[in-house]
Amino acid sequence: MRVQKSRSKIRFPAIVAILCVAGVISVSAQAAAGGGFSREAQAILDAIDAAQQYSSISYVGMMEITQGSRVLKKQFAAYARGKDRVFLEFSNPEDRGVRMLRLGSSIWMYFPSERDTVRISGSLMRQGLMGSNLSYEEVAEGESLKDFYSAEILREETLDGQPCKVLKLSSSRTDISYPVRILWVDNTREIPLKIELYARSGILMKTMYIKNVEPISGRLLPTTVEIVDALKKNSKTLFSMDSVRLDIMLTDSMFSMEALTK
Amino acid sequence: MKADNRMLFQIALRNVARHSRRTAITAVVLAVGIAVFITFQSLLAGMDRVTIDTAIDYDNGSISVRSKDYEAHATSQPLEYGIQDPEGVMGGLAALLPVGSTWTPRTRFYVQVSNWADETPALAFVVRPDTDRKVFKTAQKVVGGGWGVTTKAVVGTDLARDLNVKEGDSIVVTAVLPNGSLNAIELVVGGIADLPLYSLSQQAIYMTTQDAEALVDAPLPVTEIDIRLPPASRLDVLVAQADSAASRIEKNNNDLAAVSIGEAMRDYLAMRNMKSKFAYIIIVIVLLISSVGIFNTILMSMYSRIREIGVLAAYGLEPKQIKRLFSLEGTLVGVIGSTGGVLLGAVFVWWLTSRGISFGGMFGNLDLGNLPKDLFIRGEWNPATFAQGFIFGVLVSWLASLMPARKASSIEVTEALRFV
Repeated sequence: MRVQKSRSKIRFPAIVAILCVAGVISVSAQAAAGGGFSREAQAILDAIDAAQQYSSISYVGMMEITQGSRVLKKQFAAYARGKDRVFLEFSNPEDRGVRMLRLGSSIWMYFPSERDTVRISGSLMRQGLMGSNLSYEEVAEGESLKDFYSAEILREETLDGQPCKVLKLSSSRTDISYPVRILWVDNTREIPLKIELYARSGILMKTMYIKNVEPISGRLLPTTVEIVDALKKNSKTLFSMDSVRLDIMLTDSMFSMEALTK
Repeated sequence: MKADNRMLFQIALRNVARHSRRTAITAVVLAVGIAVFITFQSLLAGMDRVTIDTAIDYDNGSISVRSKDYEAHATSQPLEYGIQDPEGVMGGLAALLPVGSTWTPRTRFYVQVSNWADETPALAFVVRPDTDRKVFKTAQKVVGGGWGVTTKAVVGTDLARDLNVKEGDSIVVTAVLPNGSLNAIELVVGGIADLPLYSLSQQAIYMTTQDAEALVDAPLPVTEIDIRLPPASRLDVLVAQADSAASRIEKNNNDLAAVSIGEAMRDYLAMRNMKSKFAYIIIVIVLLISSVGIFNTILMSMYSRIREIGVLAAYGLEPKQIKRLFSLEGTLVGVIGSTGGVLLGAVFVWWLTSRGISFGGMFGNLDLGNLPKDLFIRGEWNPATFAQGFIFGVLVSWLASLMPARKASSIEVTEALRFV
């Protein structure tokens, strides 16, 4: 089992699947202080966490959003640095030139046809990014979740023919979106294959299925993720990444209001 | 000849009666115009009344008291800016409001509602059932027994239709909490509220304090205290009373904003003033048409009586008396037409106030903004409108007759007597 504790690089949630998966797989070091089961859980998550350590990322993202019988396809270029800077620019014909900037927990959208910049706040944060099943709120979750959760192994079971450990992450904090997350982690590759996100009340809100994982720069990264909203069963989003580059040079000017409205 | 005003009036009256057909046609045009003006104003006043009353009955009350911070962020209905010590505020209201006023606390905030298959944004209202029904008529519109029952929610008709849910179905309500976290609770649809406002019918979900506290996982703040003032016979009186009471509340509570119905409906009332101006445009157009008729009538009357004018002048009638005679004739036509208009308008307004007009179904499922669904308007009696219509009619008739009257007064006696 590979256990790696990296402090030298910033872990950040990047965008979409990266955000969610990386967020989910981070656990508190304190969690390891529990029983042997929890220590094993911590070790598994540390191993996965190690694969998510990078200072910056760029990729071409695709979202296939299914809403009932309608399927929307979005394509965008994504750049992220550290844990609080994300910039997206959409290139599919319907949304060409639409940009999103996240600085810390603040999100702005720029719509070129209206030449208007909108700050996303309040109840809008619950709305899906460009109609997808990923909310702006989840995009804005910039903080690392590693200090938020304690972990335990619930059981072992097989998922799609893969033996998995089922991990439960719990948090007593009141300021995070999903206080409970359940992960199905592939025993062999130590990557999550399925993630369930629960509200404080225990209601299942979303399920993510990691459909594809690729080795990139010596790390195993999930590159295709399906997001299914438990409260909108008629819709789902298939997110995929291409041309992924890690630890590249991204300047401050790329994450500015000028870049958003250029 | 020395002709006094009484004699001139008798001559004018006889001339108006002599050309009865011409007088009748002109007077009818004038009467219809004035009646349309009076009816239109009555309809507008009725529309205002039903619109304001609906907002009071279902949304705002006569006055809605909020914290100033909440008011500053009202568009996002934020939970974090509740009223400090709402019970204390409500305890002090009796001294500031007219006898017969009632009030109730409410909390409103944005949520998402799901039927497990689809999800849509909604506006949650947390109500105290016993006091809420003393201020709002919402409870009266609920079909089903779930009003104010824990674990049950009442949803607007259109929201229920959008989500394809009925009484007894399960729904999930999700909210972003003030600390940024997310929570969801499952409720059962306990009733469907057939609310007359589209905005509420499409968005409103009513729940109990217990359920809302389970959702926000904390004691629930009161975001507004809604007040109903005793009814007033006239809309402007009602609005003035609400403004005055709101001002008293704000003076006694520095950290509170009291939004009167007049302020809440500011945009609508501004539009109402525009509509009212439109009514004046109608009467101006109608009176313009009438004035052409009156001008024509008096001019025709003058040309057909040139010899008669000559005789009157020969008997010593002065030009200014001849001018007064013809303008008096015009004014008399105006009085006849205006009286007819007022009477006809009174009949229309009586019909409007006793029967009313239903516009239900006329607009389909179109969102009419502040106007209620199934719009049913009863007219309003407004004596000032009748007086305005009458005065406008007489004034325009008099003005229209001035020019022909001046022409009649300028005719030379010898020319007039030679005229065949």
